[in-house]
Amino acid sequence: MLAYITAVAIVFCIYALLTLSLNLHFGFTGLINFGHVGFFAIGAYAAALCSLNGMPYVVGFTAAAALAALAAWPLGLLALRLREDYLAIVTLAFSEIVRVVITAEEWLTNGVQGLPGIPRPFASLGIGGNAELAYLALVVTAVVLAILLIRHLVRSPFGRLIQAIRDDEVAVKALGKNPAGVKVRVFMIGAAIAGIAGALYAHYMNYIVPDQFLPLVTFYVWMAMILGGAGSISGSLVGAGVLIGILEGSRVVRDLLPNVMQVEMASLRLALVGLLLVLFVLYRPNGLMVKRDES
Amino acid sequence: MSLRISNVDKWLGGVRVLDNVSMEVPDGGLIGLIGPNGAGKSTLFAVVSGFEPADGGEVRFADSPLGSTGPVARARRGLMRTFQVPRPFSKLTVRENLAAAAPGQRGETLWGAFFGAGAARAEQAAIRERADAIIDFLNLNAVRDSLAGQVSGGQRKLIELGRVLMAEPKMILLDEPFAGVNPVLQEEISDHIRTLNGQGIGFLIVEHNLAALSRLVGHLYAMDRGRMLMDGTPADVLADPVVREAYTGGAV
Ligand SMILES: Nc1ncnc2c1ncn2[C@@H]1O[C@H](COP(=O)(O)OP(=O)(O)OP(=O)(O)O)[C@@H](O)[C@H]1O
Ligand SMILES: [Mg+2]
Repeated sequence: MLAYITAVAIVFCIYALLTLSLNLHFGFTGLINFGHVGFFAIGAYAAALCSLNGMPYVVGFTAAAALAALAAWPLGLLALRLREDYLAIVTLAFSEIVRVVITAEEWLTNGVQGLPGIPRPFASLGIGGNAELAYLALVVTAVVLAILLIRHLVRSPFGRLIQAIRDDEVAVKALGKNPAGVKVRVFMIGAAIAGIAGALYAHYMNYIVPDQFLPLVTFYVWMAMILGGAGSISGSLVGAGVLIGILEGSRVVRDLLPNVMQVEMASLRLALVGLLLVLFVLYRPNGLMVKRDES
Repeated sequence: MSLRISNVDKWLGGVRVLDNVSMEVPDGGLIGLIGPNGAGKSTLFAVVSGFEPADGGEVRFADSPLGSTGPVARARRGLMRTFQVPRPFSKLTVRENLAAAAPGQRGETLWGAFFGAGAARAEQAAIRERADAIIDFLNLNAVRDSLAGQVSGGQRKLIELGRVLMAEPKMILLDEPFAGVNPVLQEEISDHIRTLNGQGIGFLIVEHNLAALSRLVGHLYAMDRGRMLMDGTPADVLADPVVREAYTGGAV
């Protein structure tokens, strides 16, 4: 039981990191990023490849954050100069390109076979769940650091500026402030956090394949952010919690219903998530953690 | 710093919205611009502030041509505008709306957000003080900590004005600053504009409240259907038959 709870908590934390960083993008800055899983994938493969080539974990995590941020940079420059809804299309395409490249470049990524045997920090602590607990502590630390970072940012004058950009970019320009540079920076910071989430995921799973980085992941993270409330840090945690609850809950349901097949359950789960999203948009558009009157 | 608009043309959707428009706001001038609905006043503001490219003609500010520079560059030179339909940062408070407009904040850079916290705090305290003074003057005290998206239409108009005042402009294009603002406050705002003008800030004001505008400015331009009709003292312009006809749509 403890092992199960630890495992769920670790996955929750990884989704919390993704939701927090997407919230920095969309909830606080208004950047419509439909390709968050792309940064997640880059982080996962960067950390995995570093580790598999014998580099220290620190190097892998740094590479994960740096490469994800680096990928966000030209993307931001390109898309932020176009109309804002183009960013949605560009990012979605970007994340699929990342996945296709990962699948195709077999010499580096082992293609569809994926990368097995990715070591995990603290694995040497061995039996009795200690290794898992230690890893959980690491993941929780990452979440806490991300919360502190984002909270500090959004409460600073820089954070006020990004929220002003979200609310009315034209007015920001009229005051002589250039939104483009600020948006690129925010885009890179959020991407770096998603990259770290990817690194934590790769080391936790020990084994990654391109199919783990489908746009479905982006969809889940958007759902978690909307459920919790765009622009709410605590909402990101609640939203990620609800998401994990649904994903895990549907697994329990499947165990109770032996006649339901795996694929059917996956579709059912997606339908459930979609239904919940529709209900939220209708009845609680600001999310769980944002007060109704703040719309 | 003077603003000189020469022979500006603008086409929108196949219509010539600005037709060879010329006008001038001298250094430290206080000038009005009137015209019936759809005359092209707001479009002229959009072109002058760099939000819309001109299809012909030239805009010069402080004796240098603005060319095809964008709104950010023009605002940084000190040429700023307000919007006829207010554009508040709706999920920021009224006070934050004004504070966000202060120029050159070190805390607005990523570096400044993390380092030099003491200096950034002092800077923000000064900005807050300035914002509160403007909020006080604009009678926005009661809604200072309300979200700007939730205040009344008239109050949004005042936020629009407060923000541009925070931004330390050299010349302000005001698009209907009195619309939705109560008459007492209109007079107070007029006084304030005179004071700022006395300090050297130039104003070009579009306003449908012709009486209030005439009391405020010494020189008035009138336009209709994209064309500049005439300019002169408010008394002369308002008495002019062509201007009167433009306002009555030809039905004398
Ligand atoms: N995007 C557009 N496409 C086509 N026509 C436009 C567009 N924007 C404005 N116009 C037209 O340009 C003309 C001038 O509009 P503008 O808003 O500049 O007038 P205005 O003088 O500010 O009027 P008001 O006093 O009502 O604010 C109007 O006839 C309007 O219909
Ligand atoms: Mg107008």
